[in-house]
Amino acid sequence: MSGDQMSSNMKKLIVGLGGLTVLILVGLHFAYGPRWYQGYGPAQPIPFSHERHAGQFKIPCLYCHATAEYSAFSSVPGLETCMNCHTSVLPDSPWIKEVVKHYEENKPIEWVKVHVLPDFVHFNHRAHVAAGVECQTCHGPVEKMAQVYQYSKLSMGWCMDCHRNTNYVTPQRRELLTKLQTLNGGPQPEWVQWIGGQAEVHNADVSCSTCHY
Amino acid sequence: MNAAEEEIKELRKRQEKILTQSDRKMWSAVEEHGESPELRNQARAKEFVELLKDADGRPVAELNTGVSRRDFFKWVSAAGALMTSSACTRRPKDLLIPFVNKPEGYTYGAPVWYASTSPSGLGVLVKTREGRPIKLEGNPDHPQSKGGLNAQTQAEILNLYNPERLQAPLDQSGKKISWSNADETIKSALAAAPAGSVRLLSGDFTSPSLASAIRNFSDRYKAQHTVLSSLPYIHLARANEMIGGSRGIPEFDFTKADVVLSVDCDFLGSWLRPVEFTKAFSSRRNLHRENKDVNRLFCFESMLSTTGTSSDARYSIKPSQQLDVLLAVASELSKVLRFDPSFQEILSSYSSDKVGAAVGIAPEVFQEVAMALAEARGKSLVVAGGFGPQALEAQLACMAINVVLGNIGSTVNTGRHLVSYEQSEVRFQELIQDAMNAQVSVLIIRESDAAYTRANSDFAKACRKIPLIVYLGRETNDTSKLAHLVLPESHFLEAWGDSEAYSGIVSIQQPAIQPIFDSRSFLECLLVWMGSDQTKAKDYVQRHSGVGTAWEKTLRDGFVQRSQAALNFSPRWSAAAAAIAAAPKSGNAMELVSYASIQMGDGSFANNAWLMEMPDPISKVTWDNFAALSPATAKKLGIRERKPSDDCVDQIEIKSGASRIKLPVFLIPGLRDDVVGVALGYGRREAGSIGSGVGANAFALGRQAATGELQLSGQEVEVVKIGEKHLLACTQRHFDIHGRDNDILQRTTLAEFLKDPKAAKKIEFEGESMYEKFHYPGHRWGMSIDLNKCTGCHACVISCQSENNVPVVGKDQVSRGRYMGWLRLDLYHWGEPDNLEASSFEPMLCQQCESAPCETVCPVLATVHSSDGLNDMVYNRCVGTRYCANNCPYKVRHFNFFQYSDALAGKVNVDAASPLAMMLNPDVTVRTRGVMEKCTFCVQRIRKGVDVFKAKGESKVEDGAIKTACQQSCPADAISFGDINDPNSDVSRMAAKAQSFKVLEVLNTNPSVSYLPRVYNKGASS
Repeated sequence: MSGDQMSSNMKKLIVGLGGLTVLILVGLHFAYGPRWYQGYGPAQPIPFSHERHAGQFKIPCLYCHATAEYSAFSSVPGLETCMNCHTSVLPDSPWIKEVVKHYEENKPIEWVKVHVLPDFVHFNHRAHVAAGVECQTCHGPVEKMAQVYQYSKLSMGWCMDCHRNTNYVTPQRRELLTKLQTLNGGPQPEWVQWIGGQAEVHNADVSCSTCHY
Repeated sequence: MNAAEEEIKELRKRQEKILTQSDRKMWSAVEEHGESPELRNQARAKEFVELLKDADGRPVAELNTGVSRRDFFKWVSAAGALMTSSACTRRPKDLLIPFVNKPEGYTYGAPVWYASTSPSGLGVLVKTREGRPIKLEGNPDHPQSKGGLNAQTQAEILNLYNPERLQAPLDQSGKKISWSNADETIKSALAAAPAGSVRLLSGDFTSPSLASAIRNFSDRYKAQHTVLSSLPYIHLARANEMIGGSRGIPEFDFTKADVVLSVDCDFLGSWLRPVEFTKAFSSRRNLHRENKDVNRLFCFESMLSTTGTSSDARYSIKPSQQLDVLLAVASELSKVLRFDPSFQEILSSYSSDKVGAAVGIAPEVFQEVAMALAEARGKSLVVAGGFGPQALEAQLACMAINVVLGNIGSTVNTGRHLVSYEQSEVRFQELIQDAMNAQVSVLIIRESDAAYTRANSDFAKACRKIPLIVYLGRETNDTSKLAHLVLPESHFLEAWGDSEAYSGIVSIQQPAIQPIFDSRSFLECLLVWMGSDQTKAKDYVQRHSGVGTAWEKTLRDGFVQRSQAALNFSPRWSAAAAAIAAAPKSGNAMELVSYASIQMGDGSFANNAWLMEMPDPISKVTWDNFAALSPATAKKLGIRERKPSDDCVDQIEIKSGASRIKLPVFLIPGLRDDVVGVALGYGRREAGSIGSGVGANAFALGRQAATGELQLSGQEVEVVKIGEKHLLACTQRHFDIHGRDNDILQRTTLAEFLKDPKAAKKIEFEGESMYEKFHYPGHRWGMSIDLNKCTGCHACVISCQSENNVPVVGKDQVSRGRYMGWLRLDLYHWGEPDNLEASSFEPMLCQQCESAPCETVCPVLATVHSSDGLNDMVYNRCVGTRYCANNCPYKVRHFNFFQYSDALAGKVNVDAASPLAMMLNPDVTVRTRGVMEKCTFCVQRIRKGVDVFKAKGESKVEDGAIKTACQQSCPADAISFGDINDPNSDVSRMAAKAQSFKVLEVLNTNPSVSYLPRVYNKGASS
């Protein structure tokens, strides 16, 4: 074997190995790459059913997740909220007995988190609730979920799509606009200005520091 | 050449012209004044300091890890391979653990605020998140501090979570014992102690409840209580007793003072109650708010202080000349006003000519000061401070002048007085004597570091003769090392208490968190030792603070006002005159100036990394105290002038009597040639891993004056150069401000300003931009900073650090130019170093430029413009090219070279298990290594504020509803912040003033921060 041949074989080998590595990486990306955990719905310590509570009995979301209206975070309710009803509703069910046991022993239930955003994102529930965004827009048909799963991608691209395409209208302004519409068959630009808004309703902010700071 | 290129060339020419026409009058470092072109070139070549050199000029290794570069890369690639394989797994299971019963009034993610009071009696609001205090802000309703806070109180948050706090009672061998064991030992010792042999020793405190508990305790155990003020302020109270007839310090009301004369009195920085004084003083500097009735401050001082830089005219003296200056002014005053004959007699030998010749100040200066004071009769104020040999006599002279000027009852308000600072040093000496004579069986010490602040006394020796010494404090110090029992004291945010700093205003100290460690407050300890229960502390406070029935309201407000007795004041001249006549005279020797610095004070904050790394306002030195010398004295001693390439400086030895300390030399402008200035509070031996052994202890040079009181300044010292060198970490060492002057800081005099508000503006520049104008559909945030009001107190700097999780990097990293503070206060001077004409601070933070030079160079768009005018910094997108920092003309971007958030100053570990992790503001990202960071106008506060208004359905935020952290803390109210899109907002009105200017306007960056020029009140004539 001459030196030239060896080097040419070496070249082939290197190119081949390189190509293989790229192929493996691409394959790994598709097999295990980021899928944003869409559809992730772990089992919970108590099989609490949103289908039953929110769907069948139509308990409003904010009854339990009350802080979504006042805080950036939508919190999981304390056990006392469960006990508001379950002192009289189904007290003999084995799961409810488990809940009562936790309540009486002052031992919180350790729910498994479904929706997780990275620490560098500051998502604000309150802002979205105030702007009239339905819970279902992001969380999906929770009222049909026996076991809650992640409905949306929760990726930055997914956020941006919504922020770019949605017109931000405060509930109060929306109310006034609707009134104007029904009274006059559509808002006049000067009227909109008169009620303190801008004629062109701008989109939700897409500045970086809206979420990243 | 096309038209656009032509235009750019034209613009360049105009910029060049503006830059070169400046006459280079302004300077920042002494060495920079009148520097040679070679030195300037050297500085420009070394603009980015990278290599740190030791005393011999050898580079200091960055990190001594013992790992070679080659090994490092091997391991990194191996780790990288491992990481990629593990990254494919499912995310870890995360838990949500709600409350069983949610506490009332608590919303997850929303802060809960409590009104409380700092130990020094400043009204604070405590911001808690999830039960953890994370930020202190001034209580805007508090009648005295009115929302202002100082750097030290801001830094109390770090003290609360400091893992080096005492965590359980310790016995002499350092073994942990239980509280019940400790109580038993103490109680049985107290019961067995002969009458009069129980002693209490504490620092100053202002709590009426504690005072009452100490009285009860003393009655019960026949104990004696000694208060040891670490800094001697006794002279004020005593002078008032001698000349006015009742002991106590009257309230100094700077709001009513048109003319202020300060003799060595740093009332805006460290003297008595600087926050309240700054609040009041700056309320009379509203020239830029169309209030032409501005005050005028004359300052005679021996060390350049923040009061000196805020003054309208400043003269250098030495500590022993305080009385000369005051009496020279008095003798000029006596030409128009009548002093008592006994006083008049003394004044005859202090004519302005004679004093002027001795002090080296033109006699006309004294005449001018006297005339200004006389014209403002009843609306003027004379104050003296410092710890010099004539401390008492200077106070007497001050009060005499105030009496003659008719200031008693107006600017010197005897109707309200300052509580505390009234105990004499003599009592402490008695305690030592009694201990030596074996008459003390139990000594209980509460947060007093007598072994450090009275290093020269026999205290340590006397302690060896006491059978039981109990020390109660938050951390160990030199004194706790002498104790047999060391007890952990609760932080003020963990315990009930109160404070009456000003008579008649009782502030309640409300706890905001359960004690983090197994600690107790002093009040709780006393209650337990008196046989009561520590849970009774709240009731005790409620009963003794004089709140009455409105307890809930008082807790909400944070304070309550109650009736109080006025100080009696009827002048007694003869005793005062006799004392002044017998005062020690000034000599010709080299004198020491010991001063309390803003950051360290008396040294009790030495283990606080925020304050240790806070640049000294005047010198910008961190992590050290130094010997401040005038350039001429340094030259005479053979100190080599510092060059841009120097990191280490020469050291000198300062000898006073038998004591000597070793310190590095730093040149300070505006010093006399026969003084050497040294900050107190450094050089503690036992101050944890942050403060131990940093600097040298100037208390050790103190001596007992003939009166028995402690004299820290004005003693004769000998200064010699020694062969050693020392590394000084300094944050402002420009050496070269590129010949700029007027476009950095604009200044003028009042007379000129009144003629033309644009008098300070020597540059008119109308820029054009190649870029399209930004469109701001809603708000555009902006800031305006009033240089007339800023005193350089640095409260904003620590407030910013606390709010924004700004890391502490340590001395080594600061010396490499890696200080991380987002906000700095630059100090500039005019005139000669030995004859300062004027000085001014200029707060410098990200200017949020519209045409931001940083934005255009970022290759990954990690810094971009937001729709409301902020210069966003996206940490998770930043890859750390540092192009932005290089292109920033204001040098306000800071690169996180290491994982600084992992450890305080690289010394105190911060991990999830450390209490320090609880201190972090959860609304602000903790930045990682390799990321650029900077001020974004507290964007987290803006987002929260806007959110509140949007939720109410309003499209605009109410003006003033959002306050940045720096603005909130500013005791001088120098900062206004708001929407500059709204022409009616406060900030818009300030920015629209004709005199408003922007820094480096010629660079056409169009910043959102504007400044209002410094206007010196030189009187009507000039």
